[in-house]
Amino acid sequence: MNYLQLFWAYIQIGLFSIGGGHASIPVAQSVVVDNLGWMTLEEFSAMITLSEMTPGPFSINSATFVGTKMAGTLGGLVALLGFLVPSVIFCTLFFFIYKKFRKVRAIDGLMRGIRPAVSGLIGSAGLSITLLALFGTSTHATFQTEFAFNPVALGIAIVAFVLCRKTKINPVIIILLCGVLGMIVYSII
Amino acid sequence: MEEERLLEEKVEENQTTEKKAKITAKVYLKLLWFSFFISMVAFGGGFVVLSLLRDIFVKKLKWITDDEMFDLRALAQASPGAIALNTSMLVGFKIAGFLGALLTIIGSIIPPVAVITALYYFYDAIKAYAIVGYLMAGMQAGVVAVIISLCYDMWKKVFVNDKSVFTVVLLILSFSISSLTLFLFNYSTVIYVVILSAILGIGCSYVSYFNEKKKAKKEEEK
Repeated sequence: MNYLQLFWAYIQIGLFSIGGGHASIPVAQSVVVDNLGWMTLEEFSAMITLSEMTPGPFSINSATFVGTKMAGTLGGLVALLGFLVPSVIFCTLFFFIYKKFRKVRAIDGLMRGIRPAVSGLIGSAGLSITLLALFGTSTHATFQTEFAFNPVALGIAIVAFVLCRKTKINPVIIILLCGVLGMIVYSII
Repeated sequence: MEEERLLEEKVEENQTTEKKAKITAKVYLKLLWFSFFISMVAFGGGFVVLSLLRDIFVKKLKWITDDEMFDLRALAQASPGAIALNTSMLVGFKIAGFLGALLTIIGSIIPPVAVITALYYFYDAIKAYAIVGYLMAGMQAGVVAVIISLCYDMWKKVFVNDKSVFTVVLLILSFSISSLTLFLFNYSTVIYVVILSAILGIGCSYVSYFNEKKKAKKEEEK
């Protein structure tokens, strides 16, 4: 694996992840899984899970994880550095524009378009990992051959969703509970 | 009026030079330590970081005001990358310039990088065991629920609170285009959707700005 390739991939991911930590899930999936094929969706989904369980935004965690997987510890740092480049450039730029003009219409407008689009894109990424968890596949090409409905996953997801909506338990605890539940149920089956 | 403005600027200038003079090694160390601390305890995402930043830098240390914090958050949201990290970086920038920003970045990324790197090798070593597979399968089902719940909140904000045709159409289009191209052709269009929506948003806000201006002019003429 070339460090330069890794660096460039994460500059792209960093540049287009606008609107918060979860906004980088669809973008990272797009670059790393769908277009470059560095990871399968299963591995990506495992990475999201590990990232939700640890401190730090998903984007930072995913850069470190993918980089380490592709090129060792140094690779993790290279990917993270790539991710930070657009972040630092734009923050610096916006900071000076803001200092000079106090209010910037273009920045407001940018967010007006980005916010709903990012909500849609996160929905789309959520859909593909949901399909993967429940049916074992998420694309048209493999849907007929690899389709396998997983009732246990559906059951656990429903329990977790109810806990998420009806209680104020921290999502980290809910995910851990689901892990224990999975360990018990899958061991028995 | 003009004089008053100039005077104000002068006062402001004096204040900033005064502030600059106060930046000592202690300030830099505190920036590094607090960003490290916040990042280490912030399980569960960006909002925890934002409220901790406010608690420490606005309420406890009083280095920046609540209004400034609000503006910095807006800038951080519009910049690419993680909002929590961007906000910390901008707070560092505001308090102690470029070096301050650099220190807050370093402080903020050390904990997640250390944890994830260790976790990666640990997971790699144990993932072959069946029981680890079961644990991960269960947790993945939980993550699906957490992300669906997050989407529910985000979509509700657009469909119930916002209700403008522009945002609703943009959400539905971006969701269906990216899902369909991925499902049918195994090709991701996420990046194009982001670029297009940014252009549309900027265009739309300029159009409404000029319309408002026109209206105001017409009313003036009347």
